[in-house]
Amino acid sequence: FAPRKPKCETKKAAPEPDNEDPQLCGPYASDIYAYLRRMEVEPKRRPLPDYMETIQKDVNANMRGVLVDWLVEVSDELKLLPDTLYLSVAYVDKYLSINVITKKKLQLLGVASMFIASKYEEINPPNVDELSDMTYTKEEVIKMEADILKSLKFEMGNPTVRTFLRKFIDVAQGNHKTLQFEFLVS
Amino acid sequence: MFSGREVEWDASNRIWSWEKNIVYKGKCKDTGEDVAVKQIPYDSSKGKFEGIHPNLIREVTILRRLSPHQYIVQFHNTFCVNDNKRPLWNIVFEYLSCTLKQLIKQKLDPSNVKRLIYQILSGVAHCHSHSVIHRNLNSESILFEENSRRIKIAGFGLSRSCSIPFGVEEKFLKSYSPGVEAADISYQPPEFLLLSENYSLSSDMWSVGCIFAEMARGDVLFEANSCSVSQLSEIFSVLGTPTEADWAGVTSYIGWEEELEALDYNFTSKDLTLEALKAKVPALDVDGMDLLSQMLTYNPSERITAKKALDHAYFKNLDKTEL
Repeated sequence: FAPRKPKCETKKAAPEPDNEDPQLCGPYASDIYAYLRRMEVEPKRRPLPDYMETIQKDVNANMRGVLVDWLVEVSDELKLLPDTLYLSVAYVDKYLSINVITKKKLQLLGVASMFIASKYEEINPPNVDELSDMTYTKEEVIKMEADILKSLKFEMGNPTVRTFLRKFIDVAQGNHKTLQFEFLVS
Repeated sequence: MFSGREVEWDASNRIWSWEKNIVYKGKCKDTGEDVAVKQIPYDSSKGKFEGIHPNLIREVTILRRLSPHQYIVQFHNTFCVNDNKRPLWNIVFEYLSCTLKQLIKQKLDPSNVKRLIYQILSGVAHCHSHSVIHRNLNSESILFEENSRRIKIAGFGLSRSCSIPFGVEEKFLKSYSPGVEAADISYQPPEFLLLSENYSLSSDMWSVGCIFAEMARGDVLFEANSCSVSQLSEIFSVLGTPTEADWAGVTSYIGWEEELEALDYNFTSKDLTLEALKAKVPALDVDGMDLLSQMLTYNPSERITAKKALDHAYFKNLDKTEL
């Protein structure tokens, strides 16, 4: 595993603003899209492509894989939004690019990341107890929550693959059925 | 520019409070610079300690996106103190002593109204093109800096990013239910009061319209009522009851009650609406009235955007070099 660096920005036309649905922010759609793209390629917002080799000592790519699988399961069980899941994984990768962590704490990082992502994204975020599965105490999760926020400097709203996926499907004139299919693909 | 890390504040010097959030006037220990310290209690919405409050995560994330900008309050940093073994988070901002509301009380002349609303629209356009919907614009969430004579948009505690579609949040609605936060209901757009899902960037523009009118007339446009139905009838009494022709689907929203239909505010033409609005805001000229009525348009998707409003004829004679 290694999160890949984005290729150089090539000039692309932004998706056409959708005037029929005010939820998609019509007149601002192309501004917002351009802004999110700028944000996505900013190096300081990205995880290191090789943090497993250069930063981490105790954890490896396999363990990250297991953690992500577990997060997918939890988000499914708690019926969290897909955006929450993508954000959680992004926080994990960014945190691991800056901080060395032990095997024992890796899942705690996952729990606290999902806790923050839910608070950012969800209307009714789950409690600590629902997320942590009794593996960690509430105090541990809340301490980790503060560590992540400090480490990521409260930049919790970075765009993820998922942010763009919906835009691209809109452009490709997909409907909500294909949207579900696309989530499987991503 | 703020560079200090340590801030001290005096708990007796409270400058503002809203629900459980309190803002203190503080000082940076290194530079002596005045700052505002906003203290946000931890999340205990479910009766249990649940760590950092969701609003704080959103507010700081959003401030980091938007500031620095000339019309957005300058965010400095966050810090955490121990409060009975629980982390208590604080946000440090630049200190501004005057709210727009206080400025309005001193009566604004028409040229100042024009200048200030232009600044507000520029600030709101900045938010919107960064996918931020403010959701709580009012004459107290906009501050005024006396030296530069510029407004600064603050109060992002209820804001969120709209890069993805979202609905009106239940928790958010509750904070506006009767009696809890009556002051802010004055600025809420009809789609919000009607509990429509149609809530987006354009909803901020309704609030901007209310602020524009308030600046021009020296007083709140729609008096605050104790519940959304009476707030809607207050709005309808000025702008007329919206029909399906004005806004398709309006009568089928959850918040639409029969008593609203029974109200006798069925203005037959747009001119009558303009006249009733004009009576409320006599100080505005023809162009100003046109802009205001485009902000106070019922249908959210027909409401003027901040970007478009900046190009409106009302600002033709504004000296944009002195903003």
